[in-house]
Amino acid sequence: MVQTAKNLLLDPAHLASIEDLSLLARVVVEGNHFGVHRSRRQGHGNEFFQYRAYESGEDLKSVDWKVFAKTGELVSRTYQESTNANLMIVLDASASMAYQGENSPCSKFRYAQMLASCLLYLGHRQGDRIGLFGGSDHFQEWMFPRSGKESFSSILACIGGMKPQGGDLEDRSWDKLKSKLPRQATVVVISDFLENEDQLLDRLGFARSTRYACMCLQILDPVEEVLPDAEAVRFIELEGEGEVSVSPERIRSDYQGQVVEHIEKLSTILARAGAEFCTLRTNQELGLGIRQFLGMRAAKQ
Amino acid sequence: MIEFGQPLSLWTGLEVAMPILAHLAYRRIAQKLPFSSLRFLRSSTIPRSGRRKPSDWAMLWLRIIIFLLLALLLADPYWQEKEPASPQALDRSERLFLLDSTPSMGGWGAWQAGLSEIRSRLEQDSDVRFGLLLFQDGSLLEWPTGTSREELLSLLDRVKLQNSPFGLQAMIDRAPALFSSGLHSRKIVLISDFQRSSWQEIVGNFSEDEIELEFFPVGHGDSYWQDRTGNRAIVDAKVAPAGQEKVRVWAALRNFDDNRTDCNVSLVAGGSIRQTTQVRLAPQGTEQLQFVLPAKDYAHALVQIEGNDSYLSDDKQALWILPPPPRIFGFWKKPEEDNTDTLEEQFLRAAIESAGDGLWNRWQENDERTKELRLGMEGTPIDLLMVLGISGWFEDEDLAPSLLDHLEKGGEVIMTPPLESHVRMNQALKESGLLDFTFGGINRTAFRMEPYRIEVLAENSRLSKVFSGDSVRDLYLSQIRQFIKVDEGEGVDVPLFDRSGRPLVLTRSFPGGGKLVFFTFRMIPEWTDLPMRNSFLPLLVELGSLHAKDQGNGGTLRLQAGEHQEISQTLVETKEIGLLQVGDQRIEVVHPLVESMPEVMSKNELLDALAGGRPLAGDADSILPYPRPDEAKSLWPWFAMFVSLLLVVEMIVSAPSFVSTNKEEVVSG
Repeated sequence: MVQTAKNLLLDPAHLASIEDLSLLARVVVEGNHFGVHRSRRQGHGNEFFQYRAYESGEDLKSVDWKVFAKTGELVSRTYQESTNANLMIVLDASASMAYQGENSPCSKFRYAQMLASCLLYLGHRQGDRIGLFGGSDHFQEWMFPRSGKESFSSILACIGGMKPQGGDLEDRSWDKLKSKLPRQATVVVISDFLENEDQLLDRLGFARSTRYACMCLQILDPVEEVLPDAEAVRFIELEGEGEVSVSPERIRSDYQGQVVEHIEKLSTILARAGAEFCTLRTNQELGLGIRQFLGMRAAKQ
Repeated sequence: MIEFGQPLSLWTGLEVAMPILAHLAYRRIAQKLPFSSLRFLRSSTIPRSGRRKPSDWAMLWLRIIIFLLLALLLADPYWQEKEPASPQALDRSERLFLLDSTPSMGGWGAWQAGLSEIRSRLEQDSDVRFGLLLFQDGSLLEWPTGTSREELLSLLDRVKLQNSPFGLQAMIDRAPALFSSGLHSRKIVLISDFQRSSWQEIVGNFSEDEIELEFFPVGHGDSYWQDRTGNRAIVDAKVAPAGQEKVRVWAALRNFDDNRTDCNVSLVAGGSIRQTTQVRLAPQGTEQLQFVLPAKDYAHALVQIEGNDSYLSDDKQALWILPPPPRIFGFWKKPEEDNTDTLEEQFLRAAIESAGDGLWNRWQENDERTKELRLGMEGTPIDLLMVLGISGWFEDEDLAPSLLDHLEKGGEVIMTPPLESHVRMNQALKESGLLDFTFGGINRTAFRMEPYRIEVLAENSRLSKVFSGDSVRDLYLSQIRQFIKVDEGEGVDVPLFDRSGRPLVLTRSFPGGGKLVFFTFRMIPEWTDLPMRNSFLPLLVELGSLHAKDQGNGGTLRLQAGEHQEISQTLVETKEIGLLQVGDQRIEVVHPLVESMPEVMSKNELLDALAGGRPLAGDADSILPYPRPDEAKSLWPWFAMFVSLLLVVEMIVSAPSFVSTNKEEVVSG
């Protein structure tokens, strides 16, 4: 398959090298013309959006006279109108997210960071209030949904500063999230969902409400589904202190069956919880996740 | 060419099997890999795959070479420019026979076998210069290498077996000097039964003297270096009292055979067999048996095993049944009962009864004879009289003449002062001519004051020869709280002083051999703690003449053949087995007991003792003097460097390379 420039802009192997998540999100979203989303509303909002040439008949209030004084050209200021939509990203930063297979382009967490950035950029572009809840049982980051560029920048800075550590988010953290969610919101949970699937029904109970749209994006490393090729491996658990010595060849088929079974079970549980579910691999292009998100948004509206 | 100092170490080359086995049984080391979740993982066995890659084969060969080099390294390799002399060349040289002539060579035909071997070699090897060294009649007889064969052969007819176990060490020390100083190879042929008792303390270093050593064991039965099967022995025999007028003869038998043996043991007394007992001896076992005889009927007895075996010297043991008559002692004290006298008497009695040799009737108290002497009656005198608290009663009873008579006849008297009336004591002794001294008062130490101590013994004095080391320390620790001050008179010796130089003991010897020992203190705890010290008995024995009396007329000394003993200022060497009479001293000379223990040295023990543990040469009973000639260059450092280099290569090649698949920085939970 010929690698096109467009594909390159979605390839995690390329994107992983871009440290600036804001730039990365813009490159992905703008460069790939994810036009399914609606354009930003322009009007009389509070936040300056851009200049454009004055057209006759327009309200003179929109003319920027300072620019006219400097350049002699009539330009109009346009403002962004904020929407009432809220986009909440829930990002799992437990230690298991740090896993990166031998031939994988990036770790699961890096993939999740990139995907979250793109989704946030989409929301920001659309004028949604965007917020973040992320972390693990060791730390939590909470940013209440707000609109505006500053909010977008600070959320991306927060995401960029996260280091995966500890175990999954605890129940009380989920309770905190539920108590602080806005009245209406789109909640995107990005995690590997390797543990505690039985508790998801309770944790994502809000998703059954019509006021919320919930989407769970499971990030997996390809190696996690098939085990590495080696005669003998001593696996050390990232989230705990467990160790186990195995011959991957001997247990591969059994292991694969269990992983598939787990994903199916996860899918069933999340469907019952009213959340959409999609499994993404770290070697898959970011557009897959973005399209899933846009598809859900379109369906909800 | 490469030679090896320790060729036996080449067997360690078998260790090359280790890397081969490790190669076959190789199991790859599990690579450690951080993983997101162990939830779906079940531990499984890791198959042993063996090493199959070409690099693995290179590693295997590298390790085999390392192990082989290590084996060569242990074998002490060196470079030998010249060919070593062949054993045949060594044989065409000088040979010195060392012939053991100790008593144990008398059994199992060892002596004759040794002589035959020497004769045989003298007649066979015409190219060799022979010499002979052996111990005869208390001195070494030596014929250096190069002595004519005829002379050596005629000598062999004259040499005889000795009764003395001595001479082996002198023989070993002397042997190297009997070789000529030429370039001939030198060899010692050691002919002996190698009895442990004779050889266990012998040391030499023929290897250092470049002398080849050959062991030629004799007297070991059909097979060399074996125990003496078929040998039975009486290893010990003693006489002890057995009630009224009887003695018990006790004997211990040992079987040196690996089979059970029945034998008859007889007691010969008065010229005929008195009793015979059948004894069953377990393999390598011992048995005890007893005979009872009338105490006064026989003076001498012999315990012997009937049906002699080939090793005759230990089949019988002779015993003296009639012991010397007991020594008699007694006490004189004032007629009235007195606690002080009783206490002192008890101390002295216990000491005297311990002064014998520990046998059953060495010293005996006899009140009857003591009374007879006190009454001035003529009778058998007593050997030791102790006069306690001599004072007015001694003068009142007019005991001085009897005592003087007793002393002049060779009696011995120990005397102690009274608690009081010292002037009368002084007067009685001085006027009677028993002991000349002047009483000067009493030295007493006050309560809690430092007591009087015994002064350091005069150098070269009789007491200083006996008291040394811990014993003299014990003597100096003796406390004396009271003693009477005396100025010794004429004919009086002072063997012991206090630290201010005042006499503590006065002695006087009488022409007839008698001796008077006067202590200036009483033997009771209020006066001194000396009776309770270990030094007391030796002091009592040495101040008097109890020791001399013990060995005096009537005693029988039992000595082993070859021992020396000073008797009546004459050095006597006990050569012949049997009974000797030296002056008035009877001496029984017996075979050395250890010689009857037929245990032999092993070859390795002999090598350690005589040749610094050098390995045996081609023929199993000889060693080569120098495994490594001086001109040899050691290859050890080169081998060691080569092994080290290969080990470094092996470590570099076999070092595991760790590949981390987790590139994300993870903060451990």
